[in-house]
Parts: sequence; C-alpha cells; structure tokens
Amino acid sequence: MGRWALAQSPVGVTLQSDCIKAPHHHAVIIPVVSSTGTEAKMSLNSIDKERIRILWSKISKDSDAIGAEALGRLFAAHPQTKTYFTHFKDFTYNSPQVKEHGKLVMKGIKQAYENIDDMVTGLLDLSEKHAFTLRVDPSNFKLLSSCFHVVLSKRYPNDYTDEAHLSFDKFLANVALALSEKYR
Amino acid sequence: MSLNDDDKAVISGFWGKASSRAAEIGADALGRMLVVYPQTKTYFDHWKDKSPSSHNVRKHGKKIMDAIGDAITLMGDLNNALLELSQLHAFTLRVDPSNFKMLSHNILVVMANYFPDDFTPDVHLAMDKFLAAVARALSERYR
Repeated sequence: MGRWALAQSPVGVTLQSDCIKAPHHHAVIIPVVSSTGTEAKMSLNSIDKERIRILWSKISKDSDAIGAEALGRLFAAHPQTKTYFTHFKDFTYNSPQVKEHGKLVMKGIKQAYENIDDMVTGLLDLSEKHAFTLRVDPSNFKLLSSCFHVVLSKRYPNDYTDEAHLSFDKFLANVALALSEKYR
Repeated sequence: MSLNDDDKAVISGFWGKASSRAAEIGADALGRMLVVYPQTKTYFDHWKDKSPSSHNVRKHGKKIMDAIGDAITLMGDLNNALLELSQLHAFTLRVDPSNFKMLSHNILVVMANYFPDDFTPDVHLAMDKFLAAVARALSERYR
C-alpha cells in the first residue's frame, strides 16, 4: 500500500484504497474545455473498472435511449456541434436521425467498454474514422461526455453516486483520448 | 495521440541541439507564462519577485526544464517515469492540470524563439505531442 501512504490526502478526494466515504466530497479537478484535448488523463484502476462494470450492468439495457438523449442535449446545449450534422432535419432527441445516431454512438461506447483494458487498440478503427473521415474536433468529446453525465444522473439518481460519476468520467476521458489517437 | 517512432526521433534530434540551453529555455518559458497568463502566479505567492529575470524564476525554470530533459530520455514510458512527480503535483503542489497546457505553450514559443531554423513544423508537432504526453503523465495521480 506504499503508493497511498501519504501524510495528507488531497482535499476533497476519496482515497480509493481506503474507500472512505465523505458525505459531500467533490472531485478536485474540474475538467477544462480545451481545443487540444490534452487535459488530465488519469488511467482507470481496478476500482474504477468495477464501478463502471456495475454501472454498465444497470444502464446498458437503456443504451439506445441514453444515446439519443445525450445527443439531443448536446445539440440543444452546445449548438455549435450541429455543424457536423448538416444533413439532419430534426435535432431533438426523439427525431429518427438523432435516435439512429445515438444508437451508433452507444455502439462505440460499448466497444470502448469491451476493450476497457486497452482502449487505444480497441478503438483504432473508430479513431481513424473520427480523425480522417468525420474530422470531429476532440474538444467536442468533452461536451458529449458532459451530456452523458447529465443524462445518467437524471435517469439513475440512486446508482449515479459521486464515485460512479468519477469513474465514469475517467472512463469517458479515456474513450476521448483513445478516439484522438490517430489525429496526429 | 501517442508518440510514435518518428516523433521520438525528431524530439531526440532537436533536444540534442537544444539541451545545452535547457536552463535558459526553462527560465524564459516560466517567466513568460507568469507574464502572459498572470493567473499562474497564484502558485508562486511565496515569491516576492516573479519577474522573468528574477533569481526564483531562473532557478525554478531550470529545475522544470531539467526534469523535462530527463523525461525526454525516458520517453518510452512516461507514466511510470513521472509517477513521483505526478504525486508531487497532485498531492503537494496541487497544480490544476489546465496549467500544464499554458506552460507547454510557452516552452514551444521559447524553443521557436531560440532555434528558429531547427524548430520546423515537424519539430513543433512532435514537441507539442511530447509535452502533452508529459502533462498526461503528470496528471496520472490526480484521481
């Protein structure tokens, strides 16, 4: 346990190895939106993976609806993202195009989950697609991640605890990083 | 955006030329960052003089650049190589990782300034990727 034998813990952060639950703790680091996509990566440890596995078991059956709602919110909350979908007629979450695309996005998230131990390799094809064909700026991955958090927390208020939120945020950050792999 | 073999070769090649001025590069980059992004001064309230030419800035800039120079030799496994420094930044210094980008930017500016002919677009790309990888490795222990 040498890695965690510190004189003081970071303020406001749960020491994962001790699983101390503090009533109102927050993650120390607030994700910063950047155009280079180079903010903190923070690899997934075994505790994160276990939390993600548990969360996934609860949410995967609603995968299509989650994808559609997250996308719909993305377009509503961050209208600039619509620029990548000039062929869409209706940007609301229950439009056929948004539903279909939400399903596709969730297929990718599932692929990431299934390759959680090596996302860079597991998402290589998707990274190539995003880099060379879709050319989505990686800053947008953060925006979609933020929408996922909103959707999950409203749909699963009891399961989306602070810890689940933290681990899932790390998961999505790692997905974004793996997707960015082939950009340069 | 992992470092591939080409990136590593370009970085090593450029650093071969630039390393002799590491202390200056570090001092200049840190000094610039404190001027150009004044919010970064918050981490140095214990320094009276935060001007680019001050003793503190020059000493600390050298320290930073020496560490970056070491990281270049350990490019193959940055996460492990920088584990202790990550711990330091996460638990003791508590530097918000957004600041790593700002320092990286200034390092690139200074490198271009000092080595205008060698700092080609390819070198720029490789160094930017490297500094981003260093920033990620430093962020490893934050959560």
